[in-house]
Amino acid sequence: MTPILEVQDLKKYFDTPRGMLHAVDGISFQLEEGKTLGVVGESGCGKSTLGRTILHLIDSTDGKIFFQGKDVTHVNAAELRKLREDMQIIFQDPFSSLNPRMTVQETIQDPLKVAKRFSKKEIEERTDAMMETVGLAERLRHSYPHELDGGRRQRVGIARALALEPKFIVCDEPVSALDVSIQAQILNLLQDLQESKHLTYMFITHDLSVVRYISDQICVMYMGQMVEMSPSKELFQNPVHPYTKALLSAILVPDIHAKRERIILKGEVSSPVEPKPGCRFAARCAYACEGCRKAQKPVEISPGHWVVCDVVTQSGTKPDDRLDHTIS
Amino acid sequence: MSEKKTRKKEGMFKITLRRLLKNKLATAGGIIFLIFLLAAIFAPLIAPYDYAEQDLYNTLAGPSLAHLCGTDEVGRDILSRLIYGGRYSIRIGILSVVLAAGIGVPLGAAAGFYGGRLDNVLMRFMDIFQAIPNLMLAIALSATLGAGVNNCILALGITSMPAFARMTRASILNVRGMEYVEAARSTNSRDFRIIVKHVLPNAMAPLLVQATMGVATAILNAASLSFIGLGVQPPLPEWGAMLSTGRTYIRDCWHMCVFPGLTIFLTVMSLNLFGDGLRDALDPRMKN
Amino acid sequence: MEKKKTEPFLQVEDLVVRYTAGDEVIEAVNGVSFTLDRGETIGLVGETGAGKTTIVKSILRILPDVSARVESGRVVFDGQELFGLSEKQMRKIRGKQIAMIFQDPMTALNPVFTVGDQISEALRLHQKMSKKEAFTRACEMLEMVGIPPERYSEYPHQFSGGMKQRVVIAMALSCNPSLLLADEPTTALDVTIQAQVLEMMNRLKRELGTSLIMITHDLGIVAEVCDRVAVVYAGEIVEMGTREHIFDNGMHPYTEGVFDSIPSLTGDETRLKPIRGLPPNPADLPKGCKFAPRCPYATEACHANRQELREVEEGHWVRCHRERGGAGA
Repeated sequence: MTPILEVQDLKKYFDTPRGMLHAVDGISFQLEEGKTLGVVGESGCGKSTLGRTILHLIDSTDGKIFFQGKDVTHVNAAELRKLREDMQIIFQDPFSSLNPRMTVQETIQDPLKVAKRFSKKEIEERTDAMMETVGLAERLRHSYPHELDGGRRQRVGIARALALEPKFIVCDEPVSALDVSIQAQILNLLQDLQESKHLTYMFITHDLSVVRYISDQICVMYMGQMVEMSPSKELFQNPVHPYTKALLSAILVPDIHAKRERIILKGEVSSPVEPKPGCRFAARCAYACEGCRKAQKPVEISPGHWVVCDVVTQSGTKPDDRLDHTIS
Repeated sequence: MSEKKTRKKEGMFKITLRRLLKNKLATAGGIIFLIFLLAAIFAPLIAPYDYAEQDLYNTLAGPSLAHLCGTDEVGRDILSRLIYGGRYSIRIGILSVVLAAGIGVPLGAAAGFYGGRLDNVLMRFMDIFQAIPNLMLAIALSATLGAGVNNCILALGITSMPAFARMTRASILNVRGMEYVEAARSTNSRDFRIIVKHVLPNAMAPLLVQATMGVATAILNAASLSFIGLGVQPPLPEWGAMLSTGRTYIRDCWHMCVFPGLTIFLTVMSLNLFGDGLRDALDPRMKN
Repeated sequence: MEKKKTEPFLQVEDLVVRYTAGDEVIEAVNGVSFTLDRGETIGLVGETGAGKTTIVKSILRILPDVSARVESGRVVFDGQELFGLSEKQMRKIRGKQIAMIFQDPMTALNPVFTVGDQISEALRLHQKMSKKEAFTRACEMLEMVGIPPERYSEYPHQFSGGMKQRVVIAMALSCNPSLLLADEPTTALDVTIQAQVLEMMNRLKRELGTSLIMITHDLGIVAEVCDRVAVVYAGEIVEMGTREHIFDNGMHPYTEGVFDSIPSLTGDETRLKPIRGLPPNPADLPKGCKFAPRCPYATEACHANRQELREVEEGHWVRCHRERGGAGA
């Protein structure tokens, strides 16, 4: 099965007064149709930039993007229009993602009107269908965003993204701003839509319990780079990279009996401006050594489970033994 | 389906109107301005005298039944001149703002939306414009173009244009970063559509206020131009010119200053009240 | 010591707060009562708009005067009736005996003063310290929250989000308050930073013996820092008890629903069980049980009658008449 989306060594640098900011620095992955790739990391790790670069909302600096087997890294205006109909985005903030002066109906119809190939009747029919699909009551048709609660606003955003029947959707923290009970409703909706419309998702989030639940495959990012990628379950059962371990241990579980060893990281994420080669996590890593100063290579330690950390991958021993050894 | 559509279209307009009517100050402002506007349009029907008709036996007379607002230094009826004067003053005020906004808003929008070099070039150009005192520039322009109502509009429009450009740009910078703008781009909207449908409507509020204030400023500046003989030419009546003439006689004939002054004041205030109300009424977040 | 037995350190009794917006009356807090002992931490858990923030703001008496009104209720803090105090007396309590930490550290810091000056300013104001004393104390506070004192003369923008929240906490703790009100203090922070900050708060609480009211929507945070929990829904406490009561033996259908809505980190569920429907409009609350419209067990009686809190075991209160496992009375 060929992947619907493949990204090879994708880079996006921003020119800032302090130097080149390596927001996305050499990300590669393949995503099969109908699956979900979860992208996790802390704020500023480049996960949103990655999503927007793939969608061509910002231009990539280097690397390649293949969509449905075709190289779409550089496309002309007409190709871009076609591409954007197939790739959509759902935003985090249901407050700023809807135009406050447009009603629910106008927002959902906007992409259809822009596409200029639908008759008035088709636009009406599609709006009705979309509103029903995402569970918006007919009476809300002429409501303005400020009259809706967060969950409903997010449903409008989803309906807008689905209006042109895309195949691939970047979900940029779509439930982070919602209360848990509403969050569960939206997650279920996204799952239902994936099944019925055979959608492929790239799910960007900082919430690890959500990402575990919704993803088939998870990519952990740190300062613009991938540190670990693995099938979802495997990552939670057997995290290998020191950063992944710390990240997983930092999750607060709503369970008072869970006895878990918490790894408290020292320091904070800085931004990757003119980074030196070598592991970017080394400064905060308890296992950092001389070898971490040179560029690290991704190694597939088990099928589909990639780790970028020489300390744990280069020795023949099991990662955990190796880590323990390093500490003592 | 069609029924729904019509209901909605009507609704939008109705909602704005209802909110506007609910705002008593705005309604009052609107009505006062409307009266002035209608009076100006139908001046020949309403005005008791012709604006140029002189009564040399009865100059500088105070208010009386024959001349409700008195007469000026050559015996012209001030009320009639005020009514006719609206034709020029209001026209200058509104058209110069339309001109200023017509040029300034698109320039500011482009600068704010695209940023980068375009922004830099446009804004430095505006800097140069604004470095010259407004009135000086207007005088220079009028002097070059020659006197007259249309040139006066042109001069005032061009001088107040940078303010509009700046304000539009600032306002657009705020809106540009919103996710709905990105959403519009991701659904293939062209830049023009994004600016017109998504950015400008949400950046409009400060512009509306600026526009109403602009009308007021233009009326006052037109007076200054008239005063030095560059604006509206006598014997055509113009509020500002009447006010400045009256200044000479202020010790003995208060009415020559008070009535034109009151007219300008009422016009400006009614416009400001109306503009404020309109801004609120257009805000979808307001409660009915 | 004996006094504490009879009289709790903080007692909130039957607090009712209304907001007026235009011609609407928003019933934000509807009869909330709870107590807090010295050194204890209570968590107020609930969704956006449940009234959690309003509760703590009324304790501190910082609700907006124009729109909010405390209809009834009383707050007794360390033997003082807070609602009976003059604004001048209240000002002495705010910041000194009761301090508050807000969700967004960016808005709580003044961008034009150095962080050190902001801390020592509070000290000089409340503790009447000299400039020098305040400086020394501010440096100590910074060190206590894990910021090197060398950064005393840096400005807020030079700090990252987590560091800013530490500064805010240092400011709040500088006058050694006996009660700390924390409104979602880690929501704006990343997970690893959140872990750091919570760890620090736990440590400081132990060291200083501060009582804490922690507002949060995250049950993970509750599990981490709270001794007791009050679950707030539509301006009412629907369930209150110790941590163990709520996590092991949660009885209110809303508490149950919230736990079920969270994707687990270990389970194999393929589908979440959200609570159906939406929180009620606080300007138009249901007549009976406020959760009834969303409750899977609701009976006709639930819709018709207001439910009272009842004690199901010692210290465990539930606002629901349903027995465990039963389908309603």
